[in-house]
Amino acid sequence: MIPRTKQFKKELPQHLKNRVMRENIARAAWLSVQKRNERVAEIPEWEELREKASRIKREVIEHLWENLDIFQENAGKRGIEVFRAADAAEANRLAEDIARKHGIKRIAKSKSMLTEEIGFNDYMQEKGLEVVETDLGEYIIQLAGEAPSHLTAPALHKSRREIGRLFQEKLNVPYSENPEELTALARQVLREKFLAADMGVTGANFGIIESGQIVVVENEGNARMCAALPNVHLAFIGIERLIPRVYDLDLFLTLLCRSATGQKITSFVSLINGPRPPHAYDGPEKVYYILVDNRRSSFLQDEQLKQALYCIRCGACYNVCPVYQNIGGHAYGWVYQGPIGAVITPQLLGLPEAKDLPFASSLCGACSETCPVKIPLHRLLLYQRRRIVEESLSAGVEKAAFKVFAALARSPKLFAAPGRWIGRLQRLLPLQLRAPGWSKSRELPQPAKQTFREWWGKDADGVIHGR
Amino acid sequence: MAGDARSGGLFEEFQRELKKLGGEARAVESAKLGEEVSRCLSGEKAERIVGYLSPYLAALKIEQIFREIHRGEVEWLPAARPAHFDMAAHRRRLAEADLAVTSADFLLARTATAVFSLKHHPSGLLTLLPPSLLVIAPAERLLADFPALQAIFDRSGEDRESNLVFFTGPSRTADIEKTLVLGVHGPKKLTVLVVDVELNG
Ligand code: SF4
Repeated sequence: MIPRTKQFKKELPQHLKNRVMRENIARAAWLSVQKRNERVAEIPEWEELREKASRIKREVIEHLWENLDIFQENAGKRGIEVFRAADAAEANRLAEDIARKHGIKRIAKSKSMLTEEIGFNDYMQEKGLEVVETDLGEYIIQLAGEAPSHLTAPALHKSRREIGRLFQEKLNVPYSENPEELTALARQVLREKFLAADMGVTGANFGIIESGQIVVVENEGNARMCAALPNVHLAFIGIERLIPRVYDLDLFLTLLCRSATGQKITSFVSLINGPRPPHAYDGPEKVYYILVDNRRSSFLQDEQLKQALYCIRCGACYNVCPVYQNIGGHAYGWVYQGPIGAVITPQLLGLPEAKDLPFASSLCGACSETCPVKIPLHRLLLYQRRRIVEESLSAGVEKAAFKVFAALARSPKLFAAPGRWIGRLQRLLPLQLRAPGWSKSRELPQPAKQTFREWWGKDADGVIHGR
Repeated sequence: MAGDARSGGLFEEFQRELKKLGGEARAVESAKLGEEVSRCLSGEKAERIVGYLSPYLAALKIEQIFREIHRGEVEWLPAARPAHFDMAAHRRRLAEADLAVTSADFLLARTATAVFSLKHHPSGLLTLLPPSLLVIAPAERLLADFPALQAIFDRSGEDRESNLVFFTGPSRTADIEKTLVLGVHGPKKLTVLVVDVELNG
């Protein structure tokens, strides 16, 4: 997916004007938050679970390279061929080589953010291979030629009427806006695609270090089909996806499913085992993993940003974010959106590419409160802002303003003065003050008669003890 | 017996949770399995049936039961896969079947989850492709939750790293306006018969 992160500010008004999209997103996000809260309330020890998961992820990430070696070795023992890709280009090239080797023509694919990140579909299609998205939401947006607008609900921005018209036009079927009918139709079309596919591509929610297995968590069953129906299964795995043991799944599934979809557990959780054993009736003959770095290792060098690698991609921080609720996923301009997207995109694409994203936050902290693996998202947003300012990427005016502010804030006397003088000046000259950007849609409030400090310094008699 | 009360309690929990997800669980006596299966079949179009003849289902004489209650053909996959086997035809058949019948390795009450391990359940597609799935499992395989399953794995030394599939309720999606629809790719209908539950009272 080609990033549009640089156009973030410019394109924002156009997203804000899209009423249908905003209503869809706000309603869906609200519903998701409700469901998540209900499920979380059922678990009195939720906070301890978050703490525990955060600790486990920290340990995995601290020794990531060793852990990857062990994971790779254990996968190898299962007969899985494992490759490592430093970047998107290498990951796609490796996938193409695998496809060529097996004479693959048609690929059935399940939802995977990583494949969006590396632009897998476009790459393969350019090479003449058919790639069909089989997750219903992904299929819808693939038909529409659009990008996902949410981590776990990619077609969140589309209404049933829009989807009905899309199916009518692209699949040549009578119009319907009944979700049941639309889903049945997609099942039929995609079933044939599945049977015709000679390679299945999935992502991985977790990689289990001790066993070399991957875990795929889903509700529709299409990911399992991608892994079990075609003769070749290829899984793309972000190098940070590891957890130590099979038994850790209880913890991580509890956190992931409840946070992501407000379920106790999703319909299907599959541990991928490797190529079909001789006694089995079905399953792939060959299984490949491609472990993708694509700048994830750069997080490891930064004590703060490292924590972003704990993310289990539940999407809960999107749903609670007041900015996401208003601007929607597309506004962020790339694959990862919401608070976690605003933290990691500048790192994955490079700071200059996405320098506005960390500022798309009210810093209310709802994301950090919600995150099941306790990533301090709002702190990391601040951290990214600081890096952007330090790297001289933010606007000159802003930087100068912050310099003045820093000088003022260091001295109590200087800090108090502007408040007093602005108030007095305003009373002497009743002008309408303007603040760039801010006062475009609002009036700047009149300053109070006395400053907060003056009020604070008064005792009950109204006597000022100020200095 | 405390154990009996436990299996009853776990069953009720399993049943309640599965109902919330749109599936159905029923407790049956092994002697009345035929009646119950026939009840399950009566409500739906189940012309093409594929089943997996696990040692457990074979012991329940499931083939005979189906012969008595079902006029059409049922294709039973033997526990040991025949050496010569047409994989493509097998996939097609499963994709076109109306109903799949099989046993589960474990049932987890807390989440209404059926656990299948590839070791004992050599067709991953059987539980996935047909639109309706009938699972038959003995009450002693009914456990509370994942930690209880771990305890069994630890005790029995069973390969916990086997290909496990946790299957909880029918396949579902909420991708269109967050409206819940069952059966998008996997089974739309799920019935679990738990055999010889010691019910309370
Ligand atoms: S940052 Fe936390 S809340 Fe956001 S998607 Fe990742 S795990 Fe979920």
